[in-house]
Amino acid sequence: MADHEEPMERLEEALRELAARPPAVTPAAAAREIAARIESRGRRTPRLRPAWAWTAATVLVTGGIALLLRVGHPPPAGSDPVAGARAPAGAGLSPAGTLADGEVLIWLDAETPLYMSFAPPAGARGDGGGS
Amino acid sequence: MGNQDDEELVRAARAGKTEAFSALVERHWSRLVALARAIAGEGEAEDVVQDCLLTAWRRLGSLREPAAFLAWMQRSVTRASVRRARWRALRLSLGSVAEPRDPRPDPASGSVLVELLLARLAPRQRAVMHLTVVEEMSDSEIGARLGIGAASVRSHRRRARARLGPLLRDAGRPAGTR
Repeated sequence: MADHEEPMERLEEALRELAARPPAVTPAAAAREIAARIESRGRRTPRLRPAWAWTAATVLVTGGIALLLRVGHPPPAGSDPVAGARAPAGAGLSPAGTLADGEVLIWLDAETPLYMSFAPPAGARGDGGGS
Repeated sequence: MGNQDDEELVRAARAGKTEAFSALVERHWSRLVALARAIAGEGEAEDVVQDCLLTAWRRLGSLREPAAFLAWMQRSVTRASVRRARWRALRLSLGSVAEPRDPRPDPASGSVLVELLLARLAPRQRAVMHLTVVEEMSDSEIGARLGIGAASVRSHRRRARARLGPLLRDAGRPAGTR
């Protein structure tokens, strides 16, 4: 036990010595440097300074999720091989894989299709909009 | 400013007095650098602490208890140092920075080179060792600084000691007997 304890005690002592070693930059110099940097930034830098970074990260994550939804779970055999593929115009909305114009199919997983149908506003088409 | 306590200085700094914030920096700089040095290493420590202090200046308004400024800074520096150390380890694995040397006794003094031993630990283990030994904090206080539970703190400390034990015994032996 003593064999084990003694080196550990020496290490703890060395840790305290390391912590007691003065930093290369003295506290007074550090305080001056930080005050100068605060002043040079106009005192109150907006908290959302790296907004561009958050925007970029959000776009990347959203894009990644969209990509995963499209290619991560291929549709079952017999259905459209590519999610979102369009079927010939006039075809009805059908789980068999035929999509009408303005319809989009996304496979959330191998068994969960998500159909979306897009249509121009009622006033533009004159027939009452989409589903 | 030197006689004011942290709470008064934080309140003054919140009012925009940079000299009050400078007094806080001057008061806690060495202690925070020691913490960062134990976790992220000598080369990164002062940079990490300076970044954390500048962030703290901007976010002083979110500090609920002005008297807890030091604890708030310790949490910030601990976490930033862990992130910096992990980033350094990643760069190390990609070969863009030099690998730490093997822990051996200093031939001049015969003492263990503690920094090289610390480099063999995971960043959180280094943090736990420093906060335990130097700051003499309880497990729950350490957990609060690291954002983990007290049980995890104990686990990190146990693993750190298990990792360091053989290295310490090795480092204590004469070179020919290893």
